[in-house]
Amino acid sequence: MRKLLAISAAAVLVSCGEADGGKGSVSFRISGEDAAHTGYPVPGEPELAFADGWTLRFEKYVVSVGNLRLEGADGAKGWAGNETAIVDLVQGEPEVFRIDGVEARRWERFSYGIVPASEAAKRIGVSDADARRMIDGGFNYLIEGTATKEGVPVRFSWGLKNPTRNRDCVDSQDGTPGVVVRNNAVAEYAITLHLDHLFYDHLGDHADAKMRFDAVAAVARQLDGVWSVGFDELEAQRLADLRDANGGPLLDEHGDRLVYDPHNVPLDDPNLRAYLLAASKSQGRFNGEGVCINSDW
Amino acid sequence: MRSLACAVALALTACGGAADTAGREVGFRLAAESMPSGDRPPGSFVTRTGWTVTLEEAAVAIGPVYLLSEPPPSARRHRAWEWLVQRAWAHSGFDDFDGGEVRGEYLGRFVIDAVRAGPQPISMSRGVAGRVRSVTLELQPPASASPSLHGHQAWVRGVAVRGEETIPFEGGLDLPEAGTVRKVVGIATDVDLDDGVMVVIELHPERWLSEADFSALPKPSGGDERRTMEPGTQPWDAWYLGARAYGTFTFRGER
Repeated sequence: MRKLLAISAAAVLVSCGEADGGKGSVSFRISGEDAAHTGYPVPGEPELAFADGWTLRFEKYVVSVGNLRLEGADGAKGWAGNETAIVDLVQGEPEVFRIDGVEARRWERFSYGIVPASEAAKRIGVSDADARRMIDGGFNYLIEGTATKEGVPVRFSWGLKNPTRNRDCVDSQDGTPGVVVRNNAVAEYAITLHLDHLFYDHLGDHADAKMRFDAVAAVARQLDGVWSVGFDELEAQRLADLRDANGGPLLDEHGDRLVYDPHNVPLDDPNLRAYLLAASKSQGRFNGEGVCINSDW
Repeated sequence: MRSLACAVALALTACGGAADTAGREVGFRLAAESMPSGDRPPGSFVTRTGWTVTLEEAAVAIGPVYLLSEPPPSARRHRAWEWLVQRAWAHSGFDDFDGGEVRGEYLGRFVIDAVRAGPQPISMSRGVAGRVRSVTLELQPPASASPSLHGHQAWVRGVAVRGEETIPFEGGLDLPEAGTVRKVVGIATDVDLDDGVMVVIELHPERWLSEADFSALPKPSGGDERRTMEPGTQPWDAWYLGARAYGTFTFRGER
């Protein structure tokens, strides 16, 4: 996971004022980090790449985000907005929300939602057709791309319904909770989504998780000469009995049987579709690597 | 999580005279029980893959166990009123789930007999009065060898039947120490920990093998008909996932 946004300390102050008292503003951008733009592998040291040899480019990574909350540890309410936005992370890292007139202080509890797309949402970098698909489907993510291995491309276009509240977010820049609003200043923060989580081969401890695509590609179908895989088709892959395209056991790069391990994360059913939905819930972060508690909506 | 020792010390210091308030030191019993699947005895169940399984021997080593104050990631609508007032719980990953304060703990290891009916006593323990909203347990190797485990962390021996097929099987499970593989984090519960309460770890062995296809077990080369569940076989993989899966363990409190 690499940060594209270089956000300093807790906030970048556009102008200075009193540290306590008064009012200020908070600006929230949204970022899918480098992966939204470069796909995988993401260059770097170490390179962020699929363990099973796939490369992947996102054509769309549309997210419906909003319902920001600012609360103090003392119970004070700083902001509780219902505004939402539908935004395509592939198009850039735009400001999605700006809140003005907020009491200047630290708001220890910041949360945001990955929410079902709605008519009222503002649209940023997203086509009318994609916004419509999101709204009609009740999706919170619309993910389209092409994965390629050994010269064979496999397309996917998935609408995901798994709304999530990301709460008690910690600023990765200084490890402190929430956001700091200063008098007569604009504090800048980033809602960050870790796209790689969607492809991890286990949930729980992410420390040694590997990104994989073989299990997804194994259920791809060829239509008019194009290989593609629908999201619902992933139900055919049982996590404890993953199959390759020929129906044999799916093996990893060491020749061992491959399993996807959800650990004790609840799934509707232990299949790959349910697993990816659960994995998508862990994408929400804050200011880069900052942890949020990813909750059911 | 805040340690139990600190919590008990604080309780004794700050709440010495408040016998009926949360936070005082209490004694509770810890027990385990292998839960039946429907009307069947413990260790007998039908898998999602269509096999009727009867376990003749089944055991697993468990411990330590931590009783925690904070609700778990997946405990949506765990109490009736939460159907009316929806709350959101942490989810997906659990690696960031802290659990809050430790209300009670058992730091040893014990072995659950998964084919035995009824509660199996484990210990008398000291804890701190209050609501326990989640439990984290570990599946560590036993402190000393247990015959029922046959040298493993878990053991099964039984028969699987599907249509005309009857497959006797046996095998051991060992979990690597890597990451959180040996931990089951944030199991939902709602127990008011108090003097005399028995906290019961409920094991659901049907979850172990729900995804197992026993026909995938290789036939033995000798005369023995019993097939071996071992790493590299599909039923073993199913067990590896099922041993730590959501729903394999639940908890209850009773007096």
